[in-house]
Amino acid sequence: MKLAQEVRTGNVIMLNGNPMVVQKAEYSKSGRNAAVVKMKLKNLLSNGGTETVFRADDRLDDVILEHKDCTYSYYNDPLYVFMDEEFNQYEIEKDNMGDVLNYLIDGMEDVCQVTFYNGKAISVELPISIVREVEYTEPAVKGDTSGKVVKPARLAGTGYELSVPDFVNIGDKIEIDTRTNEFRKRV
Amino acid sequence: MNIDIICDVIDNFGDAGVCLRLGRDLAINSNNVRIFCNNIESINKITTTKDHDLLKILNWPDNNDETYIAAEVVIQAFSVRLPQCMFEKVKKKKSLIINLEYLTAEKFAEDCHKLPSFSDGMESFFFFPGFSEKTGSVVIEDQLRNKIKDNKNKSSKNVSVFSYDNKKLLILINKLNMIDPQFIFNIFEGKALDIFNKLSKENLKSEEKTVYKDINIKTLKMVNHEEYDDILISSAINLVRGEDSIVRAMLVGKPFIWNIYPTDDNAHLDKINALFNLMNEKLGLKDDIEILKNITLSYNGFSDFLENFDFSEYYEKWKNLSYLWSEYLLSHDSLTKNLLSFIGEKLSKDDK
Repeated sequence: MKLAQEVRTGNVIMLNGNPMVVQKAEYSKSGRNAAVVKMKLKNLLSNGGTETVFRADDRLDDVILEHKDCTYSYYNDPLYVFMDEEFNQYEIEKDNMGDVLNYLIDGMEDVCQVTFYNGKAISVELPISIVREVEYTEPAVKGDTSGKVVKPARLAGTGYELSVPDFVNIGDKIEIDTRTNEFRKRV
Repeated sequence: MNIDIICDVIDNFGDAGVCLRLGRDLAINSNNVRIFCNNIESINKITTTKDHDLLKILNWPDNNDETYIAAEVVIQAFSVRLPQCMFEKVKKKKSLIINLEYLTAEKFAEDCHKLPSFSDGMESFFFFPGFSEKTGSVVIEDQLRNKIKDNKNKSSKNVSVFSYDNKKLLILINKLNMIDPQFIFNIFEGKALDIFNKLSKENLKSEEKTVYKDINIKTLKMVNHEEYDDILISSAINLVRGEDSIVRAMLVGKPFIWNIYPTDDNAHLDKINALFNLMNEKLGLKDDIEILKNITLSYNGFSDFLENFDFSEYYEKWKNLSYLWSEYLLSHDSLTKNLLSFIGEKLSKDDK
């Protein structure tokens, strides 16, 4: 069992007896101590898609799948190719890449986990914490170190934008929580 | 139709207040409504005799209670989980389960509104209150619409004050008093009065009057919903807190300032930003709304904007945008109507 807030793109959950691969999982704080997770799911048997919302603390049946540690190798339109330690290559469809695309850059050394269902690579997960460089953000307001004021920042390599505290500058390396796509700290 | 609303009171009166308003309006619309609340003392502080005639307000049954009979529709308010003995009965009856969520102007509410969910082997549906057409709206009773209409052009010197223990409250009162020194600040007993006493070093009790540094102060006891609505409608400015009172303040169309429920992870910052971004999108009064956003952020501890702001010139613009925002909200159907229509759709689908 996994909490809904722990489910990430690429996980497979059982829903009404069907194995569903999670193509997107968006966590949102709805109020006070409550949060919801909206998921885009694809049925691995019928290929049918659906959208569902869970409370963040809902317990879901996750399917135990085979995993392998791999690194990103290259893009072979429309498939992303990953390679394991024995140089075996695995192709993953763009639709199953989810938020990984926000952080996928050539030459990245992050060890990713590729997931297999019935021998087929169906998804990939990044480590929970990764470090990326800020390509552009507005200059910081002098004196604000509270971290309460936030602004958008664009990442080098992918152009993905996320909110960062005001004290972050262009060229800074920042640690990001890939589960929530949130800034963690300046490295 | 039989409808059960399950309410878990975390603190204060907000959650109970929202459940009570919705329950009351559902009952007025010819439904048999029961509210099951885990803190019946809290909800009873804001109910009236009329409420008890309209609704059944009951304690959560304990786990050994076998007498609970599930309703056709069960509304789980604010992510509440059903007590075990209710859960089993609801599952067996295959009641339609609605997850009524917190109010927010954030985009995800539109994205998740009316979507299905599956938890513990039961299907349910998320229903998000909200301010845009893509969400479920807010509770707007016909009675409230009429009262707002009847009081549209009446002027007032009253300022209602309902807050959490907000350290900026006294600064805000001082600033607002500069708009008109004849204003009377009506401070509600509880957290608002406690923080006012602490900041001003006064020792006011409920239902007293005083002049504090040229500011007219009156203290009020807790009131029920209907009386509170009347106070909001008949005030010049409303300082409000939490979810229930901000909605009412926005609906009555008078200038308002929101003391949002603070969360440790600053999620309330996103909620403030989302509200004013939406107001700007709908009304287009960018500069005036930006000022109100800055006032609100400052009042909630995010900046010192309030300390240096002069309300005098802003007051007329503030009145105008509050009125226009109210008109926008009142142009929508009530949450009650939207919810009943959604329930109707789901139940008729099940029949087929």
